[in-house]
Amino acid sequence: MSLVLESIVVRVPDGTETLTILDGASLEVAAGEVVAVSGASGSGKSTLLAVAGLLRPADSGRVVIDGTDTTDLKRSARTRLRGTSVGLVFQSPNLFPSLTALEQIELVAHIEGHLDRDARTRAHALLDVVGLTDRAGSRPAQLSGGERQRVGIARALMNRPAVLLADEPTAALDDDRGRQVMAMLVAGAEADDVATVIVTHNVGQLPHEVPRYHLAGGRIDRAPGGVGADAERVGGTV
Amino acid sequence: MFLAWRDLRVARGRFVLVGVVISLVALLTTLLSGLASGLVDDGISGLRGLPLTDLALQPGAQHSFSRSSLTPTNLQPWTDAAGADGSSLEVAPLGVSFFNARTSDGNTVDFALFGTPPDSFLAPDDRARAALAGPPGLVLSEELRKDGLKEGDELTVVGPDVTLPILGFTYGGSYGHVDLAFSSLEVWQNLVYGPSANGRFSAIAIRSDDPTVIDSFDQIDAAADTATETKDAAYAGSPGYAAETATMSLITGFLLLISALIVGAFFTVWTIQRTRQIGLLKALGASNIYVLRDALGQLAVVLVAATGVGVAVAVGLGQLVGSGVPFSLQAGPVLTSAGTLVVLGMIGSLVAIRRVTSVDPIISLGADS
Repeated sequence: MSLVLESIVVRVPDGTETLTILDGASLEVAAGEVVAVSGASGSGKSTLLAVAGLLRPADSGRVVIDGTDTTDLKRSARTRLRGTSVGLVFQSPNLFPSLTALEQIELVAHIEGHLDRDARTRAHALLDVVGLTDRAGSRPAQLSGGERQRVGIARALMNRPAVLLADEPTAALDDDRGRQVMAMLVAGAEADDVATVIVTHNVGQLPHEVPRYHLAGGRIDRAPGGVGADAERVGGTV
Repeated sequence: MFLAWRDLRVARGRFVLVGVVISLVALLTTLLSGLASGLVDDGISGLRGLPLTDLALQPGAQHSFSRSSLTPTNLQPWTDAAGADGSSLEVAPLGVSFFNARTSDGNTVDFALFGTPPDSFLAPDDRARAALAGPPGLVLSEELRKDGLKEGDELTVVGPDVTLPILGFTYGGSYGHVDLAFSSLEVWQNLVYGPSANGRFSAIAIRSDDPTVIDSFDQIDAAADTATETKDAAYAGSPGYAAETATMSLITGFLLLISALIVGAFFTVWTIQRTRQIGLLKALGASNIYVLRDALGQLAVVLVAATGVGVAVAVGLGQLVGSGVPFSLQAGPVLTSAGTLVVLGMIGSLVAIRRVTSVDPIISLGADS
């Protein structure tokens, strides 16, 4: 499995008490597989992504990325692993105002210290994949919401991550644009063999074959009646 | 500095704004440095120009020629040491006093009179040496020629009311903010003490760069009842010198401090505005070192460029300053103050830098849901 979340528990202080956000959540996603996770506001979807993306540690449980158990990794090692093996697509595209569309993608390679000719070629190719070749020199202010999100997807795929995590990637888009972006994520995941988790309210925008999971009470369960009914094949639930 | 360069280019308006402020501080600092150097020059250039390395004064004179009075008895041990076989030591009695003189057409002129034997190593050049060896008279610094004085004119020294001819002019320089004049030691003694001089003078000028000889100064001082100090230390004896340099240093120090606060405040605000971007960089896998390099690099570029512009403008303005204002730009002090400005600016931004390292990448996800 490219991504294993095993019995993840996350607690946060809530006044004088402690609130349990994730309470033994587990999920497994293999290379090239795409799963969708939905849940009510405040159910812990973003926390789940933060733990899976090594942006915050879990209070207990295990996160394995591309075969590496991250439980005992130091912060710097987690940062390194995030850079090489995890791609993040954010709810708002989170682009840098001073960078062009092409530079947003190249930046990822620069952070990893290998912005060479191959990396530049790949950045151009990814822009082509998301249909923005003619907007390569445009800055975020010159792009539409959908275009920005597509740049965000291309950026997340730049370093050929083992795991792609998308947090409400279509929340700010209309339904048509949202479907396009979802299709792009699925296509990118399949093409690059990336284990992909899409956290979304808009499950209807997802291709029919993507299995759905539901996060509630701090645990992940297979969504009743969804294609995820045969999801034993693509992802497990506990 | 992938992101930093592009930020500088795209958000140039705000960087130009802070850059202008830094440039103005650099401009002021450099101009002050020029004024400070000019004042120092005005105070000590005459002494600095003399080919001596040390001065022996009366003990307790506190660097001041006017508080020092020596006699041939004090000079003798020094002359003996200089006359020893193979000694590289050179010594000469030196008289220093300030005088006001009247020209034949009633104008007045101030000068610092340095009296020295015509054959001493202190005589500025051969022409002056020859002039001082002849009939009594004065050899003036070139600056006094600009006041309309010329060779052959007569000056009546106010006080002793002695009239002396101008024998010639020699290299420029001033001491205690008045122009220099040279005379023979005899003429100087006559002007200061009249007939009861008894061979007195202000100090003993010393020239030696031999460390063994320099080590023997304490011994000679003990025998001669003198106190030797270096030429640099003797600058403090120039009237107003210590107060002027302290004032200029204080103003420069405050300017640099203000600059550090301005730069620190700007970059703190700029970093707060960039907090989400910094979190995003870290979320994309950037280490603290990467983010710091980006932030510090950007800061250094702004500081160095703005300081460079400020210094360049100050140097340009310095060329326009007339001779009425003591102004002298020297590479050493200018580069030192510019370097200090950059370093203090970096230090002033430490708060911002600390913030850069403490940003949590999780903020890139927005509010926890």
